[in-house]
Amino acid sequence: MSPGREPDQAEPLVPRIDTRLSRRQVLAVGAVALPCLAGSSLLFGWLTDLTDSGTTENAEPITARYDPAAHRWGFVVDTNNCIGCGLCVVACKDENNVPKDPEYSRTWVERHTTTSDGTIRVVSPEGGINGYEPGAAPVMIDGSVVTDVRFVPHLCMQCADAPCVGVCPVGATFHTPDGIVLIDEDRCIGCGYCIVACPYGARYIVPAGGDMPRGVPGVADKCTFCYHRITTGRRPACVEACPVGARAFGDLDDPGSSVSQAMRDKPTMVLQAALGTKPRVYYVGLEREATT
Amino acid sequence: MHTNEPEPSGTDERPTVGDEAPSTDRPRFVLPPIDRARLVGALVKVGIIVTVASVTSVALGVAAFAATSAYGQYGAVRNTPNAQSWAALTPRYSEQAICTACHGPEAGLQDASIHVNVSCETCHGPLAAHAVSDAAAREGIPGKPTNEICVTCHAVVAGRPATFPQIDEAQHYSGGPCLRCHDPHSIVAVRPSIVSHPLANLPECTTCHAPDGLRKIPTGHEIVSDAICLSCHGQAAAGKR
Repeated sequence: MSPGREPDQAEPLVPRIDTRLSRRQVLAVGAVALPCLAGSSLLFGWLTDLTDSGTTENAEPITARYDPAAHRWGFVVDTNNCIGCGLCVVACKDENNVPKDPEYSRTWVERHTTTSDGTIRVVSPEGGINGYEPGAAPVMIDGSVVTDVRFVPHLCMQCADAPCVGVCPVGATFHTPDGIVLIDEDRCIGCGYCIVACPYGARYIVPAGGDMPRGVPGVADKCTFCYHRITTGRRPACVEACPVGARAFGDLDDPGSSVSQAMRDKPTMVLQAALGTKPRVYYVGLEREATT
Repeated sequence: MHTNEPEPSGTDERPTVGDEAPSTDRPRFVLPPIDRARLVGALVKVGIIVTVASVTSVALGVAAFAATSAYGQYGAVRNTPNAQSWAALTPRYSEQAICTACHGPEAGLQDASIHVNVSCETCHGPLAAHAVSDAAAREGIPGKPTNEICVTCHAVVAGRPATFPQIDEAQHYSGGPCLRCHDPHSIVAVRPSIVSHPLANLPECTTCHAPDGLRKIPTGHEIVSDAICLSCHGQAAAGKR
């Protein structure tokens, strides 16, 4: 400050800013902002309805006689019964035009060999499509006693909180109102995010040439619970083909269905429950492997 | 207003105020104090209005994007048509009830057999086309040869439940088709006829009747030729000639 100035008369270095809005200005801002907020909330709700049809109650019918909202499908895999014949894998490939190459499977059968040291050895030669080599189970492996050998069929878990649906950048993977996760082959860009996101390894990218489930190469594909069968009153092909009843399919809301009976009669669990994916496929006989 | 006139200096960059702005060699940007305060206030108001307008235009843009063809030729995100196209695929596997409609007698046998819970198409292959088309019906039954089908399930394989019937092919008589002795549609899985051995060309008795064979004999039992077996067991083995 220059000498000689009266401090109380000096101009402040930073002038006082008049930020008060007049009544007219407040009303004007409100008139613009309120419709904007209302519009975006309506828009958000509408977009949510469109992209998450799995939660809408008044779902459109899938076929003339099929109301998707009236079903809650479930699948029970009883590993105590599975004999590892691979006929489910054969039936799945026949039914759904899945590529014949064993590398690509919508369903496959693993063999889990548990030893006394807690190790679980998992093999699945060619996805189990040709069954397993004959021979008795080994008594010892690497100095540990074999405590359990069982076959574990795998398929898409049709998770209620499906990671694959969440990561799809183009909305190609979606839930149907009856809880099945499908892939729109027209929208899918084959980026492979869903294949990485799926903790169950249920997805693959359809190779060009040969059998293609939707006739389109380069898109993701996976088990649909045979959506064309379950919407027309049939069971999935793998369930139809299983000779030992290791696979049960039905409506969890129907107390008489085979899945409801299995869920009542046997202790069931889901794979990798800690991930919170809420699978619709339940397993019997895997209690010893619950931590895997 | 000032008691002392500030010394005009070219190095003093602070704008002078009031109506006492000195005239200097070069022009200076001069604002009266009351105008400057009002200008800053107005700028803040303009900022608020611009912000609101930006948010509004972005929201309107998103709305327009969603309301029109968001994904070009495929329209906005609606999944029902695709789900309908999945549901419209043609099954290749039929179902038990469809088979039974025509093949009632066979199905009746099977219903009473040990394979009651095995679907027809598990062994006979996908036959939905066969059920609706006469031409497809004449193409024959798909699937594996009979023996292969049997051992697909009934070979000893590590991991199969102990209660499930399994055969070790090395120990089991494998000189002919499984169906010679076994009828998968029969009430009992193994033909009752095997007890009286009416079948021609059976192998040596000891093929099955060995201490470690399919039908075990006591270890003290002397393993001898068929002729000696039949001298005692002739009646039971009347069919074996």
